[in-house]
Amino acid sequence: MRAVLALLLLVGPASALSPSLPLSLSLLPQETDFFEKKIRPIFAERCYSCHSASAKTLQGELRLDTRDGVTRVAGKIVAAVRHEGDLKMPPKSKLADEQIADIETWVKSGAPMPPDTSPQKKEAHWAFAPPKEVEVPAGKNPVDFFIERALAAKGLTLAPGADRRTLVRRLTFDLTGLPPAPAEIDAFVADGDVEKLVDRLLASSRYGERWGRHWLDVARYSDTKGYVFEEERRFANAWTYRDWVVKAFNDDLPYDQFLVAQIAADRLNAEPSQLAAMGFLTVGRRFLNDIHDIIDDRIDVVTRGAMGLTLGCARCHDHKYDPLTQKDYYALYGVFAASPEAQNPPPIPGPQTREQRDAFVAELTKREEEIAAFKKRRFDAILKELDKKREAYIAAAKEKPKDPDAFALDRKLNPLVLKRWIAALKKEGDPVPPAFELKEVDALLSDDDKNKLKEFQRGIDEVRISHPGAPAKPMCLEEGGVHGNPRVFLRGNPGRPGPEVPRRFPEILGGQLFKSGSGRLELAKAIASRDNPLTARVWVNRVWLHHFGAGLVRTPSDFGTRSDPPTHPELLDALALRFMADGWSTKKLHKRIVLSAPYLQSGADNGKARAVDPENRLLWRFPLRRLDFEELRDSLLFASGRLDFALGGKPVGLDGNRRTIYVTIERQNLPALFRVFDFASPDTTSPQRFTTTVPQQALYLMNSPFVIDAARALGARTTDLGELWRLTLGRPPTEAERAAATKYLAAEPAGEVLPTTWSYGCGDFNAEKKTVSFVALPHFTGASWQGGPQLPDKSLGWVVLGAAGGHPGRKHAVIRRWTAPQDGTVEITGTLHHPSDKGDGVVARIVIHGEQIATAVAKQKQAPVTARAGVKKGDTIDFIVECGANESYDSFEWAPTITMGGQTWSASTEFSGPRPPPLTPWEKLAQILIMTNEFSYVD
Amino acid sequence: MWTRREALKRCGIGFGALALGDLFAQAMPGGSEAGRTAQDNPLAPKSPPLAAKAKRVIHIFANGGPSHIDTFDPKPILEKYAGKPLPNPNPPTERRTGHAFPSPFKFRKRGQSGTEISELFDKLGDCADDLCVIRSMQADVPNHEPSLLLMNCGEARLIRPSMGSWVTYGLGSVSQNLPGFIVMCPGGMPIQESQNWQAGFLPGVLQGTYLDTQHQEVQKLIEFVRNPRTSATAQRRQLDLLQELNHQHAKERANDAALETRIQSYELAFRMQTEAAEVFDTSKEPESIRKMYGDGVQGRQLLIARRLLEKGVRFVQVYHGAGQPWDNHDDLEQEHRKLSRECDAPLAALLKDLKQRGMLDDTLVVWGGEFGRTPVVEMPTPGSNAGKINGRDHNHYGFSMWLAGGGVKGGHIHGATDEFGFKAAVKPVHVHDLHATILWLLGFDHEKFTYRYAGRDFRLTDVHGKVVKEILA
Repeated sequence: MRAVLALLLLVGPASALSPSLPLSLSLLPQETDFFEKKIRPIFAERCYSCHSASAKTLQGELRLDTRDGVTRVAGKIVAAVRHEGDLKMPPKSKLADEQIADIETWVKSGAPMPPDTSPQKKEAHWAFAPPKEVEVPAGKNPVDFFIERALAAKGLTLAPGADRRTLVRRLTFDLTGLPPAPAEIDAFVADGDVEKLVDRLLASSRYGERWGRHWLDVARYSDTKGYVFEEERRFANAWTYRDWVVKAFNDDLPYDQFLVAQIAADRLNAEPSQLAAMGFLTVGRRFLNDIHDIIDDRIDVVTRGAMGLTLGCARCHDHKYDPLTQKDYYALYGVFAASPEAQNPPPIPGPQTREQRDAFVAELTKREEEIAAFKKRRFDAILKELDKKREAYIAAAKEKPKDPDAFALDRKLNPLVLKRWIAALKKEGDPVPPAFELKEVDALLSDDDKNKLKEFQRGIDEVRISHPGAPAKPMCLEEGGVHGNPRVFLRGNPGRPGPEVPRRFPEILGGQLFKSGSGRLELAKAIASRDNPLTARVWVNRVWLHHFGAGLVRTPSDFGTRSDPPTHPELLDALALRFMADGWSTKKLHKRIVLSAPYLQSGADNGKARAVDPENRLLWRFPLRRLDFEELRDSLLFASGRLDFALGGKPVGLDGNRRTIYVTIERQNLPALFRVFDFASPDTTSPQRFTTTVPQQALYLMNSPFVIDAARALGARTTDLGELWRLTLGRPPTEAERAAATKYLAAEPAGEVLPTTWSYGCGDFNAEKKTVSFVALPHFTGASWQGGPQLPDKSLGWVVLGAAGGHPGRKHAVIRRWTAPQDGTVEITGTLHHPSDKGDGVVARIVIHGEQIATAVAKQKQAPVTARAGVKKGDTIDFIVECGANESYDSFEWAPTITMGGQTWSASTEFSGPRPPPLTPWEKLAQILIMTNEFSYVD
Repeated sequence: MWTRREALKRCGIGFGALALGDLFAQAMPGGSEAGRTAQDNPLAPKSPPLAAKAKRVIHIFANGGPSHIDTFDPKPILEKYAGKPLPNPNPPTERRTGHAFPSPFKFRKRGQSGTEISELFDKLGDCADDLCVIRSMQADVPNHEPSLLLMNCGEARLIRPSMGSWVTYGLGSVSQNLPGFIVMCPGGMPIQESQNWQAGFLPGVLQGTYLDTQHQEVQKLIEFVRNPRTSATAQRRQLDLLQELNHQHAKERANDAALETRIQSYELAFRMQTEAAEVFDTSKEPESIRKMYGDGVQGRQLLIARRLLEKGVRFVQVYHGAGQPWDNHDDLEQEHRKLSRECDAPLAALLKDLKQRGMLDDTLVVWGGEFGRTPVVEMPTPGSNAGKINGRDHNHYGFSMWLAGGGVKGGHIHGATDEFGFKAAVKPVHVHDLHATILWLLGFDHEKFTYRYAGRDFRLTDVHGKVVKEILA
């Protein structure tokens, strides 16, 4: 309680009874709790009989069950309940002292009260009522009108317009997810025609890649199924959905059609490529193939994704807050239960050549034949084995077991065979040994056989996924499965079926019955309907969110009664109505938003506005935005001149040069890099990404090979400081920056070489003088170090050193050298092996500071070589191998492992060729520029 | 002044106001967009709303399902029925089961408390007086996947944040140089893989950071923590120029906390590179400590776990091994003996070590599997076992776990299974109850510690769970 009080007091000033703010702000949970637990019970018990919807006769036209009513009298309520003035409430008997105290506390903190909910009445919650047209002055963009009006109400104005350089960067990132090229910046700075720029960006294929990805967040897109036990983990064709989405955005497919296709393309006589749209339903997690969970996932993505309706909450019981019932849930459950996944969808025509397709069919046929041959082979062998076990089966059959399956297993017999013998023995006369047909082979196979079959199956899956000739197939649903009315599962438990419900739309949205087939097409049309109060608003809000960093409704996938009301409700409605009137064109919606004054304003600070509206909910300046993961990675590739603009296709690796939207999304073990950069969770529909700033993000830019390669490639693009700035930040450096960079370049040592851990050489160990002569081997073949490309080398002879071992020369021992990166005690383990059965063997030595600490001789055998020693940072440990008396047959294997301080260095796994050269000062400067905040933020 | 929106979004429903106050005071002294910083770094340390007994947790997951009958819940009466069916039909479990299977292991009373522990955990028995054994644990189903998820996330199938993510979300991490929630498993992952430590709808950075303890390189713990080509001094010079540019950039964009946070994140990252590496340097541990934990991988990972906890990591989860090592459908005697030999001494070492450092008082140690095993043998099922009839099937009706330190009673036994050890019979403790209790020990009321997502206030315990008051010290 103390905590709640303290909080209320803290909140007080901001949420006082000023007319507009509190209603547009949602309550803190503590506030809701306080109201529901303390205040509403008092009202209900003592006031509602006269002052609520349930009053027989409403007294004083006052309702205390609505926020409006409460707000109207909040200033007078304390005096009334104290019975201090003329107005004494409740009139007959005063409230208890604690109750009065609670009401005082509550009023003092601003009388926070949750929004009114009355599930019975559609209009009670704004989002379930149709959008309302509010008049906008002729020729005025509604965005300008409503934003400016709300600002003016607080005595505020928009910030001055942003400069051209800022605008071209902002628009290019927002619409394409990429920075503008320097030439594009120059062109716009010269011309300044914003509409022309916007048209160009919207027409670019890069636009679909950017906005398609926003939708893929909603669609919880992934290239894998999530946890699977043994089956193939990858979806072979999820990418066909991704490509369909990108194309739909590029084509500006009207949003209503966009939704209908994703839910029911199969009912539209669609081309195979259009059927891919239904990946929206099918790329979800597979929950070990539990159909109830799969359907739940589909209901969730459809209702929350398209309508901001949290119907998933009603799986086990009626929604706690929203007017959604368990029956509403199962009414849709029935739709999806009658829509199984198509097992053999038509192939999507692709770029494959006829040869590739033929090769694919041939490969598949070959593998299927292998399986058939394997089964036949095993079948024949098993029949022979069964012959030998005949006595055991007859004996078991004679026992007439009640449960032959279990009995067979306990006796380690085959259940099918045992049952046949039981049947055979029942017949009169001499028992005829049962016969089996090849098609029964599966029931006869052993565990080992079945494992082998799984291996074959994995091979086939692999061919279907990766063969270049494999046809792409849409991941679509079809009509079928369980028809008839679904039943409610009590507490969500399929084992407890409850009442039947017809397939229909949720009651609150009209409840129309679905009569055609599964009802999926009717469902799709009911969602993508002008009469649906949610669909257009939800989409308009999502688009707004991606332009301004926050939605007009702050919970983009929850428009329910406990969501925040819109900051600008009339604007939301105006945008939704115009969007529908424009034929659900998303591109027109973009234009309406980005050509508005609020979008084109600068991000300039304004102390007065900040004091009034610190969160910038009223948009008195344009909010600064951090690049998301895709934008950052794509920008790195773009700045370094390596971005591969190819469109679409199968998913690719994270290390490549394709746009990030095409990188494989493995939902089960999403790489840390994605998570660290707040990538949308691919597990369930994602309303909005988080924006965290954690040091792991900095580490990526400081140390990852991807960024270092980008810096190197960027450095190679120019030698001019001004150009380097333009390629990264899209502007020339300031004088101060130029000076700082020049100073940095002058002071930075050119050839910084990091101490290496392993190096590879040859030389001699002199035990008397305690010296090791070490000469680095000059030539690397790709697998080993040696004297030159040919063996024997003219000067170094047969000297070779590789990951596992090598060959010493007659005059030169081979030396694998390890340099200690820190002080500590090293433990060295390993085995010297002389694998040849000829020759006189080799000698191995471990030498530190010229001091031999271990030695071993191996002649046609193995010998362990272990040692332990203290080292100082920079000390070298030499692993020396010499010939015996002659150098014939002296190939050896020796790859020692060193541990120190919990760390391990393995000679074999860390074996490497020439190390990449360190960055030059210029390249380091390039890296600095891509690490800057300016590179990662858009004004 | 701070923003309510962020508080709502970032801090969930259940935080008390005082905790919120603390949070923001720490996060943003006097700034104007204060909530933002809390959002920017979800790992900033926070105080729980209630008085906490435990500040950190180590959950040692004996994945696969260790047999309670053979470890912490002696049932000598099974001898009487050895080889014969039990008087009542066996309740259904994953597979067919058969006759009674008395434990092949000897039990002894240990410590002052006389807690009975089998020879499998002979060394751990030395710490009997620190253990709070719950003999009446219950889960929902006899299958690994749902039971692992239930134990980790409080929900068997759907996407929910794991306990470690919840705890890290609620408390942040004391260490800013290491992830707040670290998961170790040697040689691969347990089944259900990283879903066991998923962040669900919480920020992704709260997901457990997985470490294969077969390796011990810091790069595996924190990606990109080393630069292969640039020395620390050269990198410092890079950062100096970087920050000069960044400060100028921020100056032109007054009052944007995000920019300052990102500037700081580079400094943190720079320090992380050296400090994080030290955690794995077990050579700094005295010989006696290293000996106590032993040379095996279990000892090594527990010792690293202790060092992580000491450095301020909030939640460490340690799995016995990849897949489901304790899942002994066959050869139970031999396999359980081997498994316990690997972990018995290291577990004892961990408890003694925490104790001698004074860390046991506020470190909650949790040990157990996703369920227990049947007191009867499992019958052959092709493809599922080797049909040797010398192992036990899964048993979710009743099993044992133990807790230690962190505000629980030592030398205490809570609850009991029925006379044969099949079902929890006295004071059953469901997994949800365990979660409620763990949160309670960390200073959270599990019913109020919630997160608003998709129209609902989610809890680790969903709509279930009762704090097991009787085991609180």
